Amino acid sequence: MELTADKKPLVEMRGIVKRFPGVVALDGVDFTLFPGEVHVLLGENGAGKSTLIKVLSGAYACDGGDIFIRGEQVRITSPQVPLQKGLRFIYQEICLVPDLDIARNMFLGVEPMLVQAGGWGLVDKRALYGRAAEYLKRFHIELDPHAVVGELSVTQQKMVEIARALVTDACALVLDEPTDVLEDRSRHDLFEVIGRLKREHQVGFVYISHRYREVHELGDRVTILRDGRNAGTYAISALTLEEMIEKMIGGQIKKQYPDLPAPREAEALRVEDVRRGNVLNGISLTVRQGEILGVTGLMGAGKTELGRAIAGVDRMDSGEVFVRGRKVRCATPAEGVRHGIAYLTEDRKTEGLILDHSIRNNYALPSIDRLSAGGILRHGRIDREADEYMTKLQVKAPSRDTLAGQLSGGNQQKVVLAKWLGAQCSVVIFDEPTRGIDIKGRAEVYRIMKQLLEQGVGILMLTSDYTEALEMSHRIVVLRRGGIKQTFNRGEPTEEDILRVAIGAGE
Amino acid sequence: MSEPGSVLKHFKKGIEAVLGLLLITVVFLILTPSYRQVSNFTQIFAQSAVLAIMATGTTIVLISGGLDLSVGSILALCACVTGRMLAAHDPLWLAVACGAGMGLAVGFVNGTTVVATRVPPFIVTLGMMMIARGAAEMIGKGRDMSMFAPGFSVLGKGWLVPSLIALGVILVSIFLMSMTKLGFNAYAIGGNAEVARLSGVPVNRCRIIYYSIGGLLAGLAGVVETARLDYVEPNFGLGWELQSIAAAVIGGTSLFGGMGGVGRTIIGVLVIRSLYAGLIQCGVDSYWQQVAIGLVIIVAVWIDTVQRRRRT
Repeated sequence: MELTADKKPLVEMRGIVKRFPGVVALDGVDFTLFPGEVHVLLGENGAGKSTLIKVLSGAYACDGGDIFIRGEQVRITSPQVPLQKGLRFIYQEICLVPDLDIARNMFLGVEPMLVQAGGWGLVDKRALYGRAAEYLKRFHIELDPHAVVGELSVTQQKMVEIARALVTDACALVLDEPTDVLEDRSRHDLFEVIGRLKREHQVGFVYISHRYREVHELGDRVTILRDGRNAGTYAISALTLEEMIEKMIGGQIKKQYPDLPAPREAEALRVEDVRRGNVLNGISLTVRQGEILGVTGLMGAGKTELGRAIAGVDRMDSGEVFVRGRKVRCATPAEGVRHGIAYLTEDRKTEGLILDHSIRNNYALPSIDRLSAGGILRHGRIDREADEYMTKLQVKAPSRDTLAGQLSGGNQQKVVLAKWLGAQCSVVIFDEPTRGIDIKGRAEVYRIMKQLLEQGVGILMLTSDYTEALEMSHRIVVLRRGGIKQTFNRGEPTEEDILRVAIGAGE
Repeated sequence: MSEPGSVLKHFKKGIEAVLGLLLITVVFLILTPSYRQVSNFTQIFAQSAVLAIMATGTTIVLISGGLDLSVGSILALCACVTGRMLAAHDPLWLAVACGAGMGLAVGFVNGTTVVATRVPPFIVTLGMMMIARGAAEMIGKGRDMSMFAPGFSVLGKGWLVPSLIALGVILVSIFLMSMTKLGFNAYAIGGNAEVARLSGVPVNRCRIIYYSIGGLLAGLAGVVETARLDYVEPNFGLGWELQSIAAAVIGGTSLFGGMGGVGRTIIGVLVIRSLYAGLIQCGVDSYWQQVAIGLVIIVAVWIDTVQRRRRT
C-alpha cells in the first residue's frame, strides 16, 4: 500500500452499477488499479468479477458509475475506447492466429509500414521481426519471433499474448484466469514475466483466478467482490490465505472435502497392460466399487490419454478392460457407454456440452437408449428426469430449456455431471473434475462424487491438482511418461512426495 | 432455435417465415388479378410438392451438420431410371421402387464416403452431383421416355396427389425428427459432433442414415416429378439442390447444423414457389426472378441472424 500511495491510479472505477433483467450484477462497486501492482479480483462464480471486467472492456455498458483512466474520465461506449487508453485484456482462451508466426501475431493490425497511403501499405518485414525480437528480449521471453504460434506450448502462447499486449504502449493488463490451462512450472515462468513487468515497466495488472494460493503469492492487493458488492480491498501481505478465502465466501470455510466412505470389496474396473503408441506404456490398475482412484502426474504424463483409451475415445494398441469383472471391448465411446464407462472430459465447453442446446437435451444425450422405447423418445420421462437432476444437483437456471451455453462454469459442470449420473454407468472417469470452478462449486462436485461412491460406482479421477488427489482419493497413482511410477494409499504421501515422483526426482 | 421437443414449439419458432409467406401472398393478390384464381394456388402446390419432398431430406442432412449438393442430380438419375423401366414396360411398382431405391443407394454412398474418407461433405456431394448427372444422361440420352401408363401417372395427378405425398413425407419426417432417437441424434451431431460421440452416439452410423434419407427423398421426388410431367429428361432438377437448401434456410434451419426443423422447410418451399409464380404473373422476366429470389434468401437469413443474436 505504501508503495502505491504516492502514485496516480491507472484505472479508477467508482460506484459501478450494472443491472440485468431481474438481477443487479454490480451494485456500486469501486475498484482502483495503480501502476506497478498486481491487483487481484476475487469472488465466487457470479459475484460480479467478469461483469466488472466486461464493463471496463466495453463489452457491457454500465448503468451507473464513473470510470477514470489515468486520471481522465472516460465513457466506455465501445471496446475501442479502453484499448486506445492503453488497457489490454487477456482472456482464458488463447486469442492468437495459430498459422502466423510470433512477430506477425504481436504486431497484428499495427505492423510497421514501409510505405503507407491511407489504410494501405507494405509491411516492413525487417522492422517487424527486429522489433518483435527486441520486445521479446526486453520482457525476457526466450522465443524466436519466426516461430509459428500454433506450434508453441500453451504457456508460450500466453507469453506471446502478453508481449502482444505490451508492444502497443499498454499501461494496464487484465488477466482473466490466465493460468488455468498451464501446469505448475510454466506458471512460475509466467509469474516471473509479470513480476518483471510490474517492477521494471510499472505495468498494472488486474488478475482474476480461482487458484487462491497462487494469487496470494503473486498479488499485491486484493479486491473482494461478494454478490455484486465490494466486500473490501486489502493489502495481500496483511492477510493469510485462509483469511482471504473467508472474506471471499463471507464466513468460515466450510469443510470442502467430504469424508469418503469405505470402498466395497468387488471391483468396478480393472485394466491390464494398456498400451498406446509411446504415450501409454503398459498400465494396469484396479478400481473397486465405491472407490476413488486418483491418477496424477505432470502434463503429458498420460492421464488424459489413459482415460480416453479406457473409455474407447481413443484406440488402444493392446490391453484389456474389465467392468465389474466382465471383459469388455470399447472401440468407440458408444461401446464404452454401453458397457457402463462414462468419461467426463476436462474441456466442458467443447467436449462436454452442446452449448446451443438446452439443459434437457444435453442431459438426455448419453441416456437416450434408456430414455426411448423402440426408437421413440419418451419426452415426458426426459422432462421429468431433467427436472429431477436439476433440483438434485442444484443447477441454477430458469428452466430445463435454458441453453447450456448461457450457464456459468460451475453450473455447466453440474449439467455435465447430471448427464452422466443419468447414464447410470458403473465406472466414471473424471478428467480434471474441478478445473475453473470456484470453492462452493467444488464442494458440490465432491459431494456428488461421494453420492456416486455410495451407489457403488468406481471413480477414476484424473487430476493435476495434488491437493485434490490427496483429499479425494482412496489410493493415488502417479504417472510419469505413460507408466505408473508409484501407488500411494490414502494419507500416506504429502504433496511433495507426489511431486517428487511426478517429476522423476532421483532418477 | 428449435430442437426436438413439442411439436407446438416448432410452429411457434417458424412464425417469421409464415408472416413472410403471408406478406408475399397478399402483395401478389393485390398486384395481379390472375394470382387470385384457384388454379394459381393449385399450380403453386403442385410445383411445391416435389421440391418439398426433396427439401425435407436436405433439411435433415443440414440439421445433422451435413450438406448434400447432389440431390438435384439424384432426382434426375432416379427419374431416368424410372422412366426407362416404364418405357420398357416393367411393372409399375418395380419402376417406382427402383427409382426411389436408386436414390437411397446414392445417398448411402454419399454418407459412407463422407464418413470413411473424411473429405468435407461439400466436396463429396459436389462430386456426386456431377457423377449422378452424368449417369442420368447416360441412361436417358436420346431415348423417348414419355406417355407412361395411366396407372403410374396417378402419382403425379393434378395438385392433390403430389401434395398428399409431400404431406405424408413431411409428417413422417417431423415425427422422425422430434419423436425418435434417430432425430434426437441428428440434432446432437449437428450441434457438436464430438460431444455427441463422447456421449455414446454412434455418429458415423447415424450420418450414413441421414444422407441415405436425403437420397431416398430425392429419388422419391424424381419419381413424382416423372409422374407429374409424364416425361423424363436428364436435365430434371437442375439447381434444385440450392433451392432445397434455400428453402430449409428460409425456414430457419442452420447451415451449421444442430438447429432447425423439417416442418418449417415447407414454408420456405412455399415462399420460393409463390415468389416465382407471382413474379411470372407480374410479367417480370426470368433474370429478375432469380435476382428477387436471391435477395429473399439473404434477407431471410439476415432476419434470422439478427433475432438469434438478440436472444443470446
